[in-house]
Amino acid sequence: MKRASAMYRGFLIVLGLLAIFATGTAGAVPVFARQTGEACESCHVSFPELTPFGRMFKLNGFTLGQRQTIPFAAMAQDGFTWVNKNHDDQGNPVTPNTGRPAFSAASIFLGGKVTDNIGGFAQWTYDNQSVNPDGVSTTGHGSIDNTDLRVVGRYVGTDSKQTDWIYGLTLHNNPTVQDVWNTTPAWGFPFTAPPNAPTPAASSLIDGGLAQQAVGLGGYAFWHKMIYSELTFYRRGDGIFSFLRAGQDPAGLDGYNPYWRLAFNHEWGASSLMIGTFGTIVKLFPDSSMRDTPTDKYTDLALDSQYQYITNPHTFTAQATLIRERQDYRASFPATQGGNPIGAGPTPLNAVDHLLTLKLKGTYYYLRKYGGTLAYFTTTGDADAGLYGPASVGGSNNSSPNSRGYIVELNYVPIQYVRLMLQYTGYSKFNGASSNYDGAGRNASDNNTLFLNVWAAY
Amino acid sequence: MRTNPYQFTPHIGQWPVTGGLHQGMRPMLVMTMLLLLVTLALLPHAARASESANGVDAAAAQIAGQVCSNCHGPAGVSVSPLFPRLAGQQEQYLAAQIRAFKAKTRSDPEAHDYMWGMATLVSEPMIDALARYYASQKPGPGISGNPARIEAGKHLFEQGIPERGVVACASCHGAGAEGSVIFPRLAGQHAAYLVRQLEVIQKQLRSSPIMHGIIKNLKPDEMKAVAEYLQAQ
Repeated sequence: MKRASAMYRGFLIVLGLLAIFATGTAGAVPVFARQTGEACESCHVSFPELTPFGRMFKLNGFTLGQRQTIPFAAMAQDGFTWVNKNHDDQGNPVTPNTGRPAFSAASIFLGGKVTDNIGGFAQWTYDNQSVNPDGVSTTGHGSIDNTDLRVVGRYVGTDSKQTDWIYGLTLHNNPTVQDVWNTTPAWGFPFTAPPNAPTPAASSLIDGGLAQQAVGLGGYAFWHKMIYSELTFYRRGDGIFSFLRAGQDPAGLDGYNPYWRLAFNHEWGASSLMIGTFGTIVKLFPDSSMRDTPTDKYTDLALDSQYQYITNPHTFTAQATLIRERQDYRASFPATQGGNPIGAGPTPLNAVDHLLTLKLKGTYYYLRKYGGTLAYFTTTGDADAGLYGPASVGGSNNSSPNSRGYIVELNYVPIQYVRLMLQYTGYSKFNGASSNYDGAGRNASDNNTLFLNVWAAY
Repeated sequence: MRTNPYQFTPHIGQWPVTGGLHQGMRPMLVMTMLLLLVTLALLPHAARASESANGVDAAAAQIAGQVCSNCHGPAGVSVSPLFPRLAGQQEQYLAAQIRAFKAKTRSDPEAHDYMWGMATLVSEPMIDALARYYASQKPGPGISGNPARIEAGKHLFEQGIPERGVVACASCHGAGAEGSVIFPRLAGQHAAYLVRQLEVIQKQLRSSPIMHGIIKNLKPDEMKAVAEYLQAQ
């Protein structure tokens, strides 16, 4: 009965939102749509994946169009999550709030044009599924989310050569949030993931590890829509920059850590292709609260490629990303060997570990309304019992970070402000094995997750 | 897998630090200010349209290069067939279309999704200047296609289909499809764009009473043939 009434309430909320949207005009970061007067689909294949015009809009600093008096937009997500085997070997639930409608998150966007040369966007997110220290109950938690502020210029020659330079500065709080291709981690697939579902233990630092905890200031240039280059330095989000990580703990970055990006872009007919590389070298305090200690060094190097074919009514897009990470535990390893790990830092049993992550994804949309996506992901790396030890659900019985799986997603966009999504994530290997991977009898497929999500923005 | 853009993604093992302004803050601040100043110093290159000494035509060239070119390509030769090529288009036709976007009287879905917003801020003198700018650009080269369809399209373009009341396109759009006054240039236009326009006019999503009368019985393969012929010109 309780469940039925919750479903009913959820249904009414969705209906109410639809009624509001049906009377307005808005789009994907909807404040941008109001600013440009354009439909969401002019910039997005499906939020947040950008079209060629969306990339230009972002690189131009979100400055096209008319400055809005009320530069706000809002977004909400509601979902059902089912985990294949949602209890551990002790019978405790693995993911809270499964099998029933659960309001997962809501965001407020502040964004758009400030002047012809200054623009940006800032997102504040209320996460309604933040897990408490008990690991079972959840609570609401508000914090800053992706933020990207820009100062830009553009030079276009009016002679026959039509020289075209876009150049700018970006101040942001998540490595790769400034990038315009959806192969980079901040805006990569999956665009929406089930809250608190089990995920593999290992991922490289650039793959979300510093999101909203670091502050980056970078410069970029895009020449003839062909060559994109960028150099950004990341530092700890504190002092006057702490507003960029409000509600989040700062990452233990030491000094200024370089990030580079080079991408070759080519557009022909309805197609566009990008082949690129990005990477970073990060010096990280093992325990971010102890800043007098030596640091570990993470070197991430990635290759990425994106292809898009956009016509009416067919749209096909594909992304591939390969990230190699070298984890040089020059601080943590000696400390661990000496028997005294540094604070809450890692306790590796190897001086150096590696991770290799591959992500592939292909999406088809018909009329930008009915969509399907297939994705494959795999992470392999050095076994290290100090990092990946046996533990129920989250651990590894053979000390391996290796995981592999796929995602199948169906999308329906009835109106441009609402997206319904059915997503299935399947694992063939999880933290090193397919069966009994955690040493407590759990199989990789026990973590398979079905996720039904309603996304609405206005 | 921690790639959900809607949710913060805490990195396990990171803890807050108490204390005041970090000593390392200053270089970042200085660097920020310095880069801001450098950028602002470079901005005159991206000349303010309205302040240009060369008047509205120079301003139109800047707007075309910095805004319109994002979809319509440099000098109006677009790459994606979703967006029409504007180079060499008839001046009066262009001005009439921009006015129709601004007044929201051209209401096919693409006009609504892309152009209504873009045209909102374009002033009356700027509409004429943009039309002059694109009309004076060199049209892009034709794009080859299927020879049999091109041949069929050529026949339709030059002869029409008299038994079904389809007037020869050439009679208004010119023998070389170069257009005239309010009849648009069609030569070298993207075939996908032309087919889409024929569809929206046929379905009366784009208001064009004369064209609607002529093409209301045109079949999809005929649209494709004539569009492919025109694209190749």
